[in-house]
Amino acid sequence: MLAYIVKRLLATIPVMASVAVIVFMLLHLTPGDPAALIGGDLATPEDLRRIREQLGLERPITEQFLGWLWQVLQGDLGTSLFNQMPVSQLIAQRIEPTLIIGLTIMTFAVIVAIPLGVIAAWKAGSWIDQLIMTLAVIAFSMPIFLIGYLLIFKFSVELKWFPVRGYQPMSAGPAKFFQHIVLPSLTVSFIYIALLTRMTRATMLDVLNQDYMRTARAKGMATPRILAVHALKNAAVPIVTMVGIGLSSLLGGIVVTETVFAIPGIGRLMIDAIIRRDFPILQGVILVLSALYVLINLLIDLSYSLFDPRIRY
Amino acid sequence: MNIRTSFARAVRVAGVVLAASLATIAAAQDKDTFRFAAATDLRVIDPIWSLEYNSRNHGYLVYDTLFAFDSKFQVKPQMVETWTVSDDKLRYAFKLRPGLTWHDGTPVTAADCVASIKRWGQRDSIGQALIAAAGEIKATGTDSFEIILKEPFGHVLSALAKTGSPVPFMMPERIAKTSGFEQIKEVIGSGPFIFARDEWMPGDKAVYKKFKGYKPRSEPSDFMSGGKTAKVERMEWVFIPSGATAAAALLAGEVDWLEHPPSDLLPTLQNDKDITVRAVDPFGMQTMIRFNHIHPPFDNEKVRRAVLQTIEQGEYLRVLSDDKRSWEPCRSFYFCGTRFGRDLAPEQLLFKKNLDKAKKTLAASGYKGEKVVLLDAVDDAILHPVTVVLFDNLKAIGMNVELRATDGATIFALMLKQEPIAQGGWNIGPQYADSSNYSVPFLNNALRAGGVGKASIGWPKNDAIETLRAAFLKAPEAEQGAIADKIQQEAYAAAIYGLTGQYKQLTAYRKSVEGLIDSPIPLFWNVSKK
Repeated sequence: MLAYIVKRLLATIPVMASVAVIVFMLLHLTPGDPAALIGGDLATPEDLRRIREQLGLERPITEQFLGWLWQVLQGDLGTSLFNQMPVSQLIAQRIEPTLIIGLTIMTFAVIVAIPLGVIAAWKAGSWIDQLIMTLAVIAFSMPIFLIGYLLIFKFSVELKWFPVRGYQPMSAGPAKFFQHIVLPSLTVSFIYIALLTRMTRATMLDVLNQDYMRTARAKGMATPRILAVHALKNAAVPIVTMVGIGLSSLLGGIVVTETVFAIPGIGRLMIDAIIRRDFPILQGVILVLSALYVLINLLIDLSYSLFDPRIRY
Repeated sequence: MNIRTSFARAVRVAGVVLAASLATIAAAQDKDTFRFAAATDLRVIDPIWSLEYNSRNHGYLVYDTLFAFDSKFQVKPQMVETWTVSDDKLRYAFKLRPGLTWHDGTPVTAADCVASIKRWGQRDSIGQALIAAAGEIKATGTDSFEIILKEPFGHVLSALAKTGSPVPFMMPERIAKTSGFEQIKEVIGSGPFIFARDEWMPGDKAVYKKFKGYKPRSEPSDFMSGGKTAKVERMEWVFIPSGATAAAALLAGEVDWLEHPPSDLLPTLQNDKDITVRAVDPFGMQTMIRFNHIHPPFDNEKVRRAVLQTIEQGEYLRVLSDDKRSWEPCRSFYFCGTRFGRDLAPEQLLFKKNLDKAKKTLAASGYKGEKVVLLDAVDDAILHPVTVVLFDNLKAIGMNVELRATDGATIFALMLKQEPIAQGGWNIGPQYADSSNYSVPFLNNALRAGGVGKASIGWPKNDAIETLRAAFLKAPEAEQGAIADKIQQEAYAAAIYGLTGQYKQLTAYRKSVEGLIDSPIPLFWNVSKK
């Protein structure tokens, strides 16, 4: 397995390099000029040239790319064009809320969705199944921002149970930490619960129709044991894949939630950098997110062997 | 009473006392922290390098100025104690107030101020004019300095008091020696608040702490002048990107002042007994139509005039707000209500929407249906609605309009392009500005008419306006109003740009807030919470 992990990690290098090249080129081909934003409407071409020179944007694009690559290889992701803060520091500030909320959402989704999906599959065609599937469709169809605002106005403005905005790390105290992550996590959970419920139901239905399930039932095995031990374990691989993909997409796609709840996460950092054309931040964020995606995919692949003994690395 | 009962009662009493103490501590802490939900995020902390409004607003917390305007637009001393002007008006001598110190504890010196003026002069248009007019700017002692002019310059004091970006903020000499084109890395001012750099999280919040060594002026606070006292221990600027969330934060009491509440939630905020909604900025914003004067068809004055004949200001203002109290038609290039803001618009030419007349003017101009690229910043809540109205009006008079819709950052970069439209240039686009610069004839960028290299975006060329602007710079105060009027008349006649009205941005704050100063710039000195 160790050899497999090393091989997979080595294989990420060309992937990351390709991402780096594509991202860099795409960003520099995008219209918009940070110097123009800094210089204002009275900036003369000479002013803009001097600002670009100070920001290092006057150099040829290949020189800029190689310079950036050399920095990255030395562990330096560069400095923001606007606030002069190291990109690694900005990412470090922002990655925690996104990761914590992402993991909370997925944990909550797994706890709720898998039992619901199993029950729906077990009672396939019944009113329970129909009810669960209807709720899943509704949850999946609700816009995230709408759910967010409804929760804010009910639980923050009216009841004052939770804060409207922001994020507090665990170091600020467990009570503050939990207060701040409940609403944002709940907001996005609906969609992932819906997705995972449907996915679990579909894979469970497939497994429940297998011959060995009939054999287990014929031998008099209790239904909970059939569902939890035999069926769910065999349905686990696609469910785990879905959880992993969900977590990966959450990291970059949580931006709506971060905006609604004013959480200083990585998604908002990325969007702000796009608006400002703050190239070093964008490059750094995309590189770090790509590395996380690769890592999560590797962990998903490795987890397969836990559920299916036929899979060996 | 048995032991168990006594113990239970003691525990209950202790609990109540503890809870009350914690609540008192929390309330005291909350009272000492003022939270301001800013409309935009603080991204750049050097208010000379960056011309962004929020960098300037940050500057007013941290830095101080030599002079400042009062509410009647009179220049008043701020860091300066006394000053003299020679009879020939060519030598200005200044003496600083005693006891001024920087946030690092070192005393403010004249050399610091000289270096600060010179750095500001690299980036600011009136600063450049002052530096050009000055033979010498030098320290004459630890607390005194001089500006010696080569030629008359009628705006020395008002330039040093100016409120538009970049503001001549004073910094220590070692920092002010940095080029104006290079961003400073250290934020050391002598203003009422200290910037807490370690707590700054761009995109989320900026924190300021009361500067206990600040020595306010003894006069009462009046607009930008007078005593500036930090009345709260801690000031937090939070950035809440969603308007609805920001409004919810204000309703829940998590922020004290919301700079720009979303217009659709204003009724909700107005109905809350704990919230005040009003315009703190007495002048608001002007929206305007900028032409690219260097390429057809708007290099032709008649074509520009045809567009002006489509303008009915109410049409442009209504799309910004349903609330008529928040806008007013204004036909002055200098903001109605300001010192120079007189309405001199010739009735027969402007501000009466007359599409038939505009069509005739356009037909007589020689316009042959050339493509007109109209810029549309779709992510800007002010520019986009104005663009939609403009697009309709241009189509209505028969112009061949192509909408170039993209994000604001791209639009801004596009507006600086001087190439013709075949090479990615532009022809026409809306813009807006606050009164801090535009209310002064010389500082109004859109009125600069020196052509390419000397004018702002659109690059109008009008020698009469430039001559008047130069005269305005040299003119003594008594003559400035008349010259400002003449500049306006020339600008109307040459259709330099189109005025589409004055829009007051309403702001909302909790009724516990006291001492808010009416100003186009959010100011935080003298502000406290009940």
